[in-house]
Amino acid sequence: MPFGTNNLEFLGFYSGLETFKTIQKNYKFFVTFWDDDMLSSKAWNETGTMPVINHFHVVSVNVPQYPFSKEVVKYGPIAKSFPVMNDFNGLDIEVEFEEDEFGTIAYFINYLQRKIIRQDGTYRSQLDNRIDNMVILTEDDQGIPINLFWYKNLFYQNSSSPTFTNSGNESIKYTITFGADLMKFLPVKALMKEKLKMETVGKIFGK
Amino acid sequence: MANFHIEGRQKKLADVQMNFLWEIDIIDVSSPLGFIKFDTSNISDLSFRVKNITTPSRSIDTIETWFYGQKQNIPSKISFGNNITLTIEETEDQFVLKSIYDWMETIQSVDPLKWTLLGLGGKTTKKTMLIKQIKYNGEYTKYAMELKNVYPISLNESTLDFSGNDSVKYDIQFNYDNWLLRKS
Repeated sequence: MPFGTNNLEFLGFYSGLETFKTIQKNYKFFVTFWDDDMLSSKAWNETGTMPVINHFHVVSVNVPQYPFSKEVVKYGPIAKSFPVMNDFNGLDIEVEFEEDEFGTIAYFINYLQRKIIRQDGTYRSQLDNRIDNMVILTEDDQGIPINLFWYKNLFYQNSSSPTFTNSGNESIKYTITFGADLMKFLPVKALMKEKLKMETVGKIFGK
Repeated sequence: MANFHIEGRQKKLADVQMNFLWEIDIIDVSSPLGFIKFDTSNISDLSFRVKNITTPSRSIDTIETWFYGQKQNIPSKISFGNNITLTIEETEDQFVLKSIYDWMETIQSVDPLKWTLLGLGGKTTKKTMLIKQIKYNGEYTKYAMELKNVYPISLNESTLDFSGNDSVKYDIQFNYDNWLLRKS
């Protein structure tokens, strides 16, 4: 072992010819919006049809997770703490969209608003006021899926207000905040890795 | 002793590539209505007049990451220079000026009398540029550079001078998004 270096730790960084340490790049992702109504031929009179949101429309997205807070019970000087979801008020997802020359994103915003409220000012049913799926897929360098962040039953909360200006030179962007109650998570590559590890260990121990 | 005489090497090595043996070609890749001829459709004639060009660049960004006091650079995004400058020599028919002017007018017109087809501007402005290199014997080299999404971004000043003794030349800067190495 070289002086001042813990070889076992350093093996994870470089090992002879191979580099083991990897990082995930924040620009390798795709966001897909999918509503089950898109499959059916029935177009809602109140909302119109949902526009196709291409992957290139999404500039950036944040990936919220379930938050937990700490509840503490004191036993004299000793603190006994445990996690609770008291402060969880649903998931807020912010997606920045880049508008195209068809006005797809403005139409999407209008579509989402019409899902919630009718033009006569009455609310639509809770079952109908949201879109079914938003999936964020992350990929590695080879294009192999890493994770699926799958938000269910999204509803529109608000949108940023873009500025149109005669002295500008930028594309129009909208940041839409969605609300979601639930999130599914599928760690595709991590599961693959764990499966491989289990199989290798199984082979070694003859199981 | 190694066989280092000139005759031995001449038989094995290819000729050195000359930096003056090349040509460019600008292709109108996407005219949705192919039968409509724009002024810029014969822009490939410009290739005879281009006097010099710098080949496009390509680089790879890196992401810095640290562990145990050691830095590691991970290869990440690809990036291109995104612009290329051509020096083009003018002739008395002013073909260069007219072609580039018309091309720029298809992007955004300042001539209120100019008739343009609605909705075609975005597509007809984008062209593909080929930089072909030529061998000493006149044949094309094996590979050519293909530049994507090419359009002029600036027509630079050209000096007209009573005390001068030179041809009129325009430096024109073009955008490109990326380039590929294609078999020519």
